[in-house]
Amino acid sequence: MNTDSSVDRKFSRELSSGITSLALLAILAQAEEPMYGYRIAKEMSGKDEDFQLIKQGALYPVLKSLEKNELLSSRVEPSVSGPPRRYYSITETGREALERWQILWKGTCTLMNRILGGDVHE
Amino acid sequence: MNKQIENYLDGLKNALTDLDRSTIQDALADAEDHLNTAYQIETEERPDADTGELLRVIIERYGTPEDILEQYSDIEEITTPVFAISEKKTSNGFRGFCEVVAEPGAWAACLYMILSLMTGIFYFTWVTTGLSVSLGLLVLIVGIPLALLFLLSVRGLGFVEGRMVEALLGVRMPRRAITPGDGRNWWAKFKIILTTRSTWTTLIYLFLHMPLGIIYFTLIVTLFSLGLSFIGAPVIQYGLHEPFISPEFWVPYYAMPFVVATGGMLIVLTLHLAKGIGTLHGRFAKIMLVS
Repeated sequence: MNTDSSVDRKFSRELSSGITSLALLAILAQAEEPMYGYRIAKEMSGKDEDFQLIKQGALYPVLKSLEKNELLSSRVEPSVSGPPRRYYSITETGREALERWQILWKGTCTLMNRILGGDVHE
Repeated sequence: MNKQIENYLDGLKNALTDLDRSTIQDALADAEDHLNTAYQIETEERPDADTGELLRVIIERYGTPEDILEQYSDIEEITTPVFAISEKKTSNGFRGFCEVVAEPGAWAACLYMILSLMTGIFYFTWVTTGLSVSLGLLVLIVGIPLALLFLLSVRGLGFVEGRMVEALLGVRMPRRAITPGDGRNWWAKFKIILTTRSTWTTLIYLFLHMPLGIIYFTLIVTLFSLGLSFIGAPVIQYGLHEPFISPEFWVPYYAMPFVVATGGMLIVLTLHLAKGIGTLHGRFAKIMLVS
């Protein structure tokens, strides 16, 4: 492994660690029904199949820790075919946290755009 | 299970060896769950796609074993058990020795030892009844599903006991209840459960929990009542005007402070003993309950 890629990996991991929680909350807040891990993972990758901010395997520990902090709740349901699935949904505390985090995120974006010198892109 | 998924899980297991064993079990459970679900859904959506290629993409998107290792070791740092028995002493000598009284972990270990009599009796009854009923009926066809149900219940009890060990003894134990061979037919499931080491070690653990529970309970209750009665000696002798220890024996007044101090020391020693037994029992539980 060359130095470039290991530095890149470290940066992208550090960058993604906070964003993951925000993205998970946002996805679950918009969802109409509880979602299981793989569907959330698919939503996270979005339409662009090539760009992947975080590896799907990184989602599960984050889901667990959000649940532990009572921002998410979950229940296990049997599936018609295959193993039972754990369905996650956002809690009221989670929605409140999401609102606060969004403000923080927007502030960060504005600041970063200015620092990176690209003015504010729409 | 698919060969490719199995290979990936083997690789993941090797990459995670330095982590805590319970974390490894949780991480493997997450990965297996995700990959199987992903594979199942993707093959339903694209039935004509090449299976090998499909799995390669799914696994790549899940992340390399190194990615997973980094992620789970990060999480582990912030979720240590509540009552983790602390190794460090704040002060040395006699004072440090007595500070065990202020350690929540030592009291939690006492609580565990007292509760283990009750859980032990329950586990023992469950295991002996379940084992004899399912073994006895094994000659009939109903014995097989009954044995499977019984072994499933043993795994379930093992998980619950693990949660209790983590809560009270502060040893990291598995946090996901997993059933080996989920999603397969009954026979395949049965075979996997039968060949999993932890099924049998859990069975032995539950069986041994009653004798251990009796010893733990007796030790704690005896030592605590002895210590407390020594501390309460002045109240018994001068307050209630009852002889202390034996009907004929009255403690002379000048010896009273020593009796009280001995009682205090006894409590401190008991807490140290509970802490030690808690650590040993935690290790034992980890060997027996975690696969």
